[in-house]
Amino acid sequence: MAKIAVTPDQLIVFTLDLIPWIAAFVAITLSLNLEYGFLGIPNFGKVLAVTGGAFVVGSLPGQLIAWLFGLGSGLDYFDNHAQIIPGVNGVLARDPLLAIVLLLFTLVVAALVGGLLGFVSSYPALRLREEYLGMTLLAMGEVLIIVGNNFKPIVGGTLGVFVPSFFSWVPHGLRPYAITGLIGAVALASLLFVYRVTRSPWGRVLRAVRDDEVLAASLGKDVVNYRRNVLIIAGAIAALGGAMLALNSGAVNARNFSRVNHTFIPWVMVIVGGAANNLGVVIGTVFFVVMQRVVDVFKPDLQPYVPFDVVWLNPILLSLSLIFVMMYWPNGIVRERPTRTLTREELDALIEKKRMQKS
Amino acid sequence: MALEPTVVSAVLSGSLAALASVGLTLTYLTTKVPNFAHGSFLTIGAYISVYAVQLNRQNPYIYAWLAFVVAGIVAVAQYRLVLRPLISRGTPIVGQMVATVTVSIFIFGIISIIADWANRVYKVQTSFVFIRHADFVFEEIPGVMISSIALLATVSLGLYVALHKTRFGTAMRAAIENPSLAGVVGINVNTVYTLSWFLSGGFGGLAGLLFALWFPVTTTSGDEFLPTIFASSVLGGLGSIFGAFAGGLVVGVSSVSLPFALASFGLVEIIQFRPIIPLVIMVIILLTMPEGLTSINMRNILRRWRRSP
Repeated sequence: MAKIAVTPDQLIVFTLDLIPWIAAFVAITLSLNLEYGFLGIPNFGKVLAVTGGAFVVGSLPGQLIAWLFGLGSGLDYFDNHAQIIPGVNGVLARDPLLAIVLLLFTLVVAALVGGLLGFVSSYPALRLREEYLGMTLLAMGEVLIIVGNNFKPIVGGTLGVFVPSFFSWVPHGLRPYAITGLIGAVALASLLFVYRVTRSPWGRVLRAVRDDEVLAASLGKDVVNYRRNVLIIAGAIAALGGAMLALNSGAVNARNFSRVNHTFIPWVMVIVGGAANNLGVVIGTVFFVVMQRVVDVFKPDLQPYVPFDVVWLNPILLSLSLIFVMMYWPNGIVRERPTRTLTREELDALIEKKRMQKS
Repeated sequence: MALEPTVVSAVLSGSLAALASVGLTLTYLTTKVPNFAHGSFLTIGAYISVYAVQLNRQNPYIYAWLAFVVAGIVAVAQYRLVLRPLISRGTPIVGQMVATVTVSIFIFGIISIIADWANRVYKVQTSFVFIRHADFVFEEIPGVMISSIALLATVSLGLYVALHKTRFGTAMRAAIENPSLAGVVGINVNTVYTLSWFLSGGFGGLAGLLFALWFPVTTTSGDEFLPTIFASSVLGGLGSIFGAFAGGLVVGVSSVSLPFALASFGLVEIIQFRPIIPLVIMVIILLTMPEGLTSINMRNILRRWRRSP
């Protein structure tokens, strides 16, 4: 077998290419973990919020700038986006502040749209039992993709649309780093947010609702409210993940979103990594993204040895690893930790402190 | 008399959806998990049809038994190797659903590898294949339409007789109704469930074989047809075999004919949105009457109708 030589340069390019993928999928899987791992909602329509976020990035900023600066007025934006986008990029290159504000605005709108889609999915989520709910959410996700693929005013229908370059003001060689840095920062922020939220008293209630809904309700917890809020928050985070995917690829096409890639692969990542454990979910995500990228990158080296396209090994490896983990490691790589309780000493210290305050 | 292609598509989609959703319901009754890999059984059958034409230059109907057996064995393998071990390990239902999706991803990978390999070695087209020309034509009616209706009639009659008139059918219904009690009176529940899965896969394979004779075949054909199958089962109540027949006919026919009917009123763009129809039917049924057609109490309706003057 030919020796596969990797130079340090290639390694840097490989890692740089990897970070946005990991970041986007970390946001998606964490949101799924919030819904399924912590609250037990089987969201088989994860692609709904992801696609919503990506559609905002494809649709909003370009049209907004084109409208504000009168670029290509009188022309249909989606028919002529190949001519209009360079003009938009020119405007953004001259005005870094505008580019940054526009970028933040786009991300906020993407999160809002994701939250709205989460709110919409809370309607069935409050009414149906598990398998019916899974099918309903799956259908809702499919509907959005089909509409996006055929209804031009969203993201240009079957042809798709380019995303304006928000970093055209950055010197040419540094641009990939800027995009990667931004995407990484958004993912890190959502990671910290989910970490804090799930360790808070609010997060503990989620697990209580998941484990025994009636018990939680009997203690005065409004189960309906918790479900709805989690779906809204998770929708917003997943939409940010979709927005990151769109920013990274530089174009949005509804065809590139599918129930396999953006619903079920995140599910595999969550279950293999360990549901209801954020660290495990991050590990699962990194594992599968790296696996896929490795198959992609080493494809030319592997190709001579097999009589078919190497990419088809991806689905097989993915499914075998999931079935294996489900059978022999049902809690995933990193299992759920019990809620940390206070030790006797800590409790005594707290009681003492309270008493001191009173007296 | 030549038939409109739309009419053929509508009838075919109706009968194939009925056939496939009967299979889906059979497995749902046994393991109580919606099988998201059911579309893959259709893809397997469709590719057997394609290879019969592309590689052997033979009539696909000769290979109907092969489609039935291969898809049936794959279904049994899914049940014995994946679902049953998971159920016995106490995997929750959501985990089982994800496992069925994973099985469909696995089958997709295998089918893609075989298609790619056949494409390279035999230099034949193996994606987006049209093999309508291999079908027979009877009095200007495409053979696939006749055979699909005949198959559907045979299957429904056969299932009715098997389930209600034979000892084995009684055992099967008992095992579905109450597995532990059926086990107590000496019914081998495992055999019964395995046979249901085999039949389920087999019907799916046959539906796929016929699917390929009219619609274009690619590695995701079955998965694209899956929403129609699910909507049919859901409309039929998700637990009723004969409800699934009715549901399949309604959803399959309407998902093809409704857009064309609307298009004839001048809404031509609506045809692109055709795949939405089964999805919308499914969501509406699940949200408004989750028991599907079985929740309609015919006797009550009749009584009310008689009482009103």
